[in-house]
Amino acid sequence: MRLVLCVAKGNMLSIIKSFALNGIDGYEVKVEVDIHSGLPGFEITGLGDKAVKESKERVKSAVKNSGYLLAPKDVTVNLSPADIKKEGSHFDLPIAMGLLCATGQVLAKLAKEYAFAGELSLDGTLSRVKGILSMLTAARNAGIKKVICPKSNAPEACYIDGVEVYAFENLRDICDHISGEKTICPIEHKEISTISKNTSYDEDFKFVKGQTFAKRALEIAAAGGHNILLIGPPGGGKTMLAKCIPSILPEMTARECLETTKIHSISNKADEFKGIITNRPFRTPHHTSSRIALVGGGTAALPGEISLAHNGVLFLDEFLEYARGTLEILRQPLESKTVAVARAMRTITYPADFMLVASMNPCPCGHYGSKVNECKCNPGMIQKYMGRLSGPMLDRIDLHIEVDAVTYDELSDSNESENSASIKKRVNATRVVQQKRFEGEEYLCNASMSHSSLKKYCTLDEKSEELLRRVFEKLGLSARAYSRILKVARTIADLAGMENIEFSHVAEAISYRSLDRAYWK
Amino acid sequence: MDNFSIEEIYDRVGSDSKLHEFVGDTSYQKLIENKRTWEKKLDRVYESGINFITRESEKYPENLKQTEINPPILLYYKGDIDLLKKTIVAIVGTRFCSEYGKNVTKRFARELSNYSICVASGLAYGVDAFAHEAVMKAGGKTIAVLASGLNKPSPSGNVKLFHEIEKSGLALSEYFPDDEAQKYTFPERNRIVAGVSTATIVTEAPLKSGALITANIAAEIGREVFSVPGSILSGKSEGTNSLIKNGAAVLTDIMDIIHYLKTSDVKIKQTCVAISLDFLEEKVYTLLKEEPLSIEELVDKSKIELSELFVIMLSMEVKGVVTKGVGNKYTVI
Repeated sequence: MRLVLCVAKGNMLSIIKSFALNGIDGYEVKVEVDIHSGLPGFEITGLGDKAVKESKERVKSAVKNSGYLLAPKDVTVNLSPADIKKEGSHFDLPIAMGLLCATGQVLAKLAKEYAFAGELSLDGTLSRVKGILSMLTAARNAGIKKVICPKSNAPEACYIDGVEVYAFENLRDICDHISGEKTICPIEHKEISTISKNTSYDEDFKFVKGQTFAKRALEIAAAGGHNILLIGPPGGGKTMLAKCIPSILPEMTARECLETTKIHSISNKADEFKGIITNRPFRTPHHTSSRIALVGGGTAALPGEISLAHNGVLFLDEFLEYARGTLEILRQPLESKTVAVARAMRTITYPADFMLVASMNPCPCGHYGSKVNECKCNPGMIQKYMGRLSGPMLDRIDLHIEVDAVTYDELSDSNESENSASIKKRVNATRVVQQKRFEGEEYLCNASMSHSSLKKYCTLDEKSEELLRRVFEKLGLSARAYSRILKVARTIADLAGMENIEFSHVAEAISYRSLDRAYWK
Repeated sequence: MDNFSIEEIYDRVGSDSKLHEFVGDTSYQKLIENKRTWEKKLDRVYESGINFITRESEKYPENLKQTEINPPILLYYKGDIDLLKKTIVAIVGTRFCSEYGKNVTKRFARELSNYSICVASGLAYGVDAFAHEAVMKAGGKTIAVLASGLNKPSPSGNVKLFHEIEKSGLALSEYFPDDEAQKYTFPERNRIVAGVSTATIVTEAPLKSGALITANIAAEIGREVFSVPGSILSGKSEGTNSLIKNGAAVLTDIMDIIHYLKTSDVKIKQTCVAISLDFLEEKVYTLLKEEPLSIEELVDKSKIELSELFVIMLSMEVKGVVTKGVGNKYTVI
């Protein structure tokens, strides 16, 4: 009797606002629920994936277990626009709300104010959904004022302003809130700058003995956002050095935090991800990783490692062990700072502005030039091995340095080296100088300087210019090294707090260009 | 038989019993064999710019005529054949050379060039290639003796080097231009390297090395063998050290060999230019003379500021006094 009453009260068709994701961008989707007479059934149209199709079972159970009733009628759900593929379990909540509105158990005109996103458990509890930041940004752009999402999404959702976000634990509470029986306040908006940043790292440069040259090179790389290649024998501490890099990377800006979090949020990296990301990501894909794993793709066109490393570091250990094709696809993203993942139904562009840190052995046996072990390779083998590093790839790496194993004396030296925190201070200061310099440009650091900026900010006096010309001739440096050396010299000058590049800066920059030297050829 | 061209000799193959007597049985058989191939491919050989000298030619080097080494009847060549008239020193060593062997090779090759001495080697990887390269870089003349025909230079990795040598120096081979290198052609080739040279330098060689074959041949035909001592801990220097034990001359300074050549009536002319170093450069140079050092170690020992040191090292590199090798180590040249 009650059931019939409920159905009669509803207007039979309801439209609920929700979102879908396209890459890291969200867009508004209208979830239309219609109940009509006929054989009992439940159909979802609008190109939903398997998770969307299965949603009907979760919704039915969740609605029933939350104490609401379902009519034994024919239910049609349409996700509009209906010609774009949609993925994800976050349509559970809007479908359930649509059902409740269509049956009149919740007043549709009250629910109209809100947009919904959330996955439902069979008992009506809400679970975390991915990509909430992208959805909230879409809501703000579409002029939607109020959004309801699962409570577990609140830690990230609170950083978007301009939208009132209401976070709930279960379906029942949502209905009570909408009907005004038990209202709650929207979650409090937080500024990213207020987050206390993690300042202790597992790896710190103070634990790295010796290697002052390599540390200096890494500091320069971090300060100017330069790509760097570490070459050295196994056990030389390349990986150790690389792992210390996060501890000296400059602070993220609020915009960078949001961008990076968005990518991590949509890429099923749920357990790695808590709230907003405030530390620059440090991604270390294994050298057997496929192309798709690196650049992104798959049926869902998810972001790859290079996008997950956006605003952070992509560390490729054993650089030459990656398949040649895999490495070469990094070339375009390294230049354009974005990657376009094209799939049958769509093309998605992900940001991929990362600092590349790579490490490799100098020869197949690994000991060429080592002071500890003797190398067993002949020059032909070494040449062939180095040949795997293509010219265009090398062209995109500003610094290449050699790292040799540390001797016992250096290891047992009791003097503690400079800690990462003080290096980080210098790096931060240098970044501020660069941000000021490149105000109004698309880029923020010396490494991505355009050609015109290079001419403007990296000028040498005549004497240095002449000296540099002679160095190039004598040492057989390649012409393509020229702009790289100037950019690195710019960063070195910035670190020294100098307005103009001096010859000593250029001389230092040249010493970080091992592979330009003839002895590798 | 004097001063016959190869065509004239070939004309007589099969008809002239004197020729048979002169070259001996095996060589005569070879000549007959070669004649057939030769006639077929003569045009091609000329097209590829290859020339040849016979044992009877005027240009055939006297040094090579010693019968102990079974002098080749024919020597195909590309490049400047007159180089064979100059003073020639062979530099040989292992294909798998270390940083030390490479530096030593380059150093002596360059210094010999400064004295206008021609350097011969075998175009192999490692020491051979570094010797050829260093000579050409210093503007000297170099001779490559190949273990294959001149149209099939081997190893493949040194083909580019080969083409540079045939342009600025001389490439020699006793094998028909289209012959590939065989296992036995390498030791055979070594006798020519030792034969054309007044002296032979072994810069780095393990106990089992083709370079020792060259050294032995050189010693057998009465040429001086110079061996560069190496660390007794390094397996790659075992051969050179054992040569010294067996009586080879020790080569630690270029003057060792220059004195020897002078006593054997060779005209030597030094073309070296003096280089001036300033006070700090001198300081660094003295440190580096003791042992190769990395920039960090240099900061420690010289007490010069890192930023200043970068400039000093670069200026010394440009002057050609030091070189930066693998592992960030600076070495004096």
